Amino acid sequence: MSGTKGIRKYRNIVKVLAFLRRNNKVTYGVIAYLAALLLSAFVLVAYSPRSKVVGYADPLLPPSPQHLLGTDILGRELLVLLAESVINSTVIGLIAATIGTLAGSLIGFLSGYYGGKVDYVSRLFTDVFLSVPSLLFLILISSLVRAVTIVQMGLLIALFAWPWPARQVRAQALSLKEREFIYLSELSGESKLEIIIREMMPHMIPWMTANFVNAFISAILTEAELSILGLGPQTEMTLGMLLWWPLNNAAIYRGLWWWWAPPLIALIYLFFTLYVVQLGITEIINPRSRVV
Amino acid sequence: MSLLLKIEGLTVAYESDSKRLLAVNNVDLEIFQGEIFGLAGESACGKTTLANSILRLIKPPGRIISGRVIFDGVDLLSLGEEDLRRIRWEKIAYIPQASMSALNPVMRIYDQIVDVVRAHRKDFPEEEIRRRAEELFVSVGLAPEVLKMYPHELSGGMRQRVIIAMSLFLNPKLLIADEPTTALDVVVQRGILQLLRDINKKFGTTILLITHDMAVHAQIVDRLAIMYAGKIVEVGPVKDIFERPLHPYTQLLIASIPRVGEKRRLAGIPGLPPDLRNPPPGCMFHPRCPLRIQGKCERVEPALRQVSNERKVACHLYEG
Amino acid sequence: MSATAKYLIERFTIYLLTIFVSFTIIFLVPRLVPGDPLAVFYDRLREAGAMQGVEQMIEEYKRMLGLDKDIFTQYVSYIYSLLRGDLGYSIGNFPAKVSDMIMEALPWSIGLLSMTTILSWLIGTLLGAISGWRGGRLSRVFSIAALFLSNLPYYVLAILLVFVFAYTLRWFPYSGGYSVGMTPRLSLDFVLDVMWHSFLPALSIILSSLTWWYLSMRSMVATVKGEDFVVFAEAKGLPQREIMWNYAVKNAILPQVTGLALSMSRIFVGALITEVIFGYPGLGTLMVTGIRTLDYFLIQGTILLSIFAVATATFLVELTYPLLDPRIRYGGG
Repeated sequence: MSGTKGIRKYRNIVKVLAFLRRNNKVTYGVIAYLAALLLSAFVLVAYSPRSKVVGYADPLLPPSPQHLLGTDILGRELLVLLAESVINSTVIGLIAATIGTLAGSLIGFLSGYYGGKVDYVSRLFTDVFLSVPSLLFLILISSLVRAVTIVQMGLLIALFAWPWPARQVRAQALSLKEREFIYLSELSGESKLEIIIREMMPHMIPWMTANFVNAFISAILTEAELSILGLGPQTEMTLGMLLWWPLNNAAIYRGLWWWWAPPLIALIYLFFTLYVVQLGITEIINPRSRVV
Repeated sequence: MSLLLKIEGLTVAYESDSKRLLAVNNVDLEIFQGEIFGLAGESACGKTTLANSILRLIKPPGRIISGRVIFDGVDLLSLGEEDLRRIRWEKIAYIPQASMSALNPVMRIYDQIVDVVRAHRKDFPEEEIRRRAEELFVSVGLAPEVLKMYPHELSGGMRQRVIIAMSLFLNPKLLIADEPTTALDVVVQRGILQLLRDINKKFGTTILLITHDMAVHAQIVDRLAIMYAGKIVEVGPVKDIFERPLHPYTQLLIASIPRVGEKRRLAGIPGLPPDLRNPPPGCMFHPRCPLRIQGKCERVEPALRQVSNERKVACHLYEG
Repeated sequence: MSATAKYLIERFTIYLLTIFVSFTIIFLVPRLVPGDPLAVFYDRLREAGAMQGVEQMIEEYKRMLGLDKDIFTQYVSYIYSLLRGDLGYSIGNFPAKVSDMIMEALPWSIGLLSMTTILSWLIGTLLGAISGWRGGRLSRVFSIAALFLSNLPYYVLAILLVFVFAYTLRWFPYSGGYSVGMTPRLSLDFVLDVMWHSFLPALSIILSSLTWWYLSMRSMVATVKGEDFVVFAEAKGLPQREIMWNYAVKNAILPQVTGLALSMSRIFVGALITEVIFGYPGLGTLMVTGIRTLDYFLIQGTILLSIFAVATATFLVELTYPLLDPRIRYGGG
């Protein structure tokens, strides 16, 4: 019994991968993103952890052969900080997107599948969360509950990442519920759980993947926004924090371009790769929306 | 009678994903001044596409591939944009299928009449427009108050009549009415048909009436053309065609009309219209034809030939 | 009751409800946060190096949050003070009132925001309409670029503009609403000075918002172009330009205005962040000041006002719908 369940899980993962590989954009985007991650990991391994310590070198040195991206105001190696922030931002994105998509999909699914009072209440809840300006609330919350670590940041952002997947999955669940093959399965005596996993999941996977990518992009950007405003995890390095430091110290005015430009470029790059992935997934789901 | 509209070799195709579909396939037609000419055929046989192409209203993925549409001596298909624009509505008015959605939802009815008048006769006086609009509305059975309303406040039948009234405003020479009575109840239908007949009698307006409903053709049309899968298969005076249909398709069409007093089984037409992406070889109708000639009909396409003074047929049964 | 009146009442009710629900959530947030919110503040204040009068400030916090009373009394006094326009005292600038500080910053934000929102919507919509109507290769190239740019966060463009125009070219100032040493007065040189300072932030917001409007109007017009009544307008022999305006645009504009109403909060937040980057003396900078000085009431006050502003702006936009769509004005159909 457990053997077949294991195979089923494996098959689902394979299905997701096969589905994603259908579109060029997805492949290229993912590869480009992973390349950035790999590069960052490489940098972290290649450089000694001492280079992140305050006073490692002279502060605010411009780029040179010894310090490829220069140093920041505390004398830390900016290249290393950048690499670390790419990874940290990715982690935040993963946490927020995973929790948001899973929790949202679960809520949305239960809401759509069971209907009735459950649906009514959760729909109200979801709509309220959707209609409030989430960043403003995030600001309010994080000014009270300062997210100090990467994980906390991820959790915080996840708070507002779930409503959109919830709504989407609910709509999917509603329409799937009515389809004929579900009735047939029910008649054939499969248990409700089996129906959900075997018949309905494959249809929802494209949507859940799209939601995941959306939530991921959104989380990275939201983290950057919160950090720029000064609400980021101050002691950790994320892309947002790496922008906050220079902005808070008038870096542009002082001509310290190597302090603010690399994280901005990194952010744009990551955003671009993820955006391409997003376009690709949209095209897979709706082949008629070919854009490029 | 003088020739008003002559269509020669018109071919219109729909192209998508490297597939080409001929909605109108090498069509020849002649419409004379002052007559009511009917165009019949099943849904999706190309009637509406034909009507649209007369005024060059075909939109992508549709495209007019070849042919000439000679109106009053001028080929409309090679006319410049501005000249074509002037002919539209003023000389040839087109009442589209599903007129329900042909009116602009955010403009009042009156304004939609004013704008078309101004587009053609800039100096038409304001009071004249109003007066004539009210006059026309009364003649189609609409209250003048309708002018102030918005389209969504009117029923389908009323909107239909608004468009008919609009079409008469500039006294066009040719009126193309595409399914003007579908989706209307029988009583309203009769009123509209009567109206069209009156227009034809009073003003001598030539009418091209397009509908799949053979009963409508029987009521008011002078001459009739039958269309199948993008090709014209028969032409002739309506009485003749009803009494002595030549083409097997025409015979089946007429047989399918229920007649009061007759107690026979309604005959449908067996089979389905051909998939135009993969048209059958030879005669388009041969797969469904009860009279097909083995060895000929599935290999050679019959051309539209004159078989008597006023009759034309495209069928191997009548070739010498 | 006319359809329009019904519609207006409905929208007004939702407007009030949105504000009410949001304000209630804001009330609940500090009280639902795990642990004692004041403990957090004690620690922070101590970490930041206690200034004199810390105990007094903590007492003020306690009193203002009303933590000694039960939750209903707290809520009632919260609503009551909001209705009176009392947003509490700023901890950082004690005894300055939050509402006063907001009143100083508000005109700057409103001025910047209203002008940029309207301009970007108008320009974007216009370009989108022409692009959607004409089609063609240029239009497609623009829209691919626009697709990417429209999702780029507001601060990206802000930073780039500061770098290029303020630092490199020195055409515009880095920050502030007006030059140091000038006193606000209604004179030509002050107004010009303000405009000079507002130019980059405004440009940043306009460019960041424009592409969104461009894309949505373009797709709307392209869709409407295929509608029956547009083809019929052509059959009527109307000139192309007239068809584009009176038939296509007039029908496409409605969802475009709806889109404006729905994007209010997104644009507002983007504008706030832009203000911060430019050091523009509006609500955004005020809020960040509050964040930096751990001034909870200042933060809360700016957020309350932001929500109120967004809801009000949304409602004002929704007021125009009956003017644009006769189906709403007259109902039915």
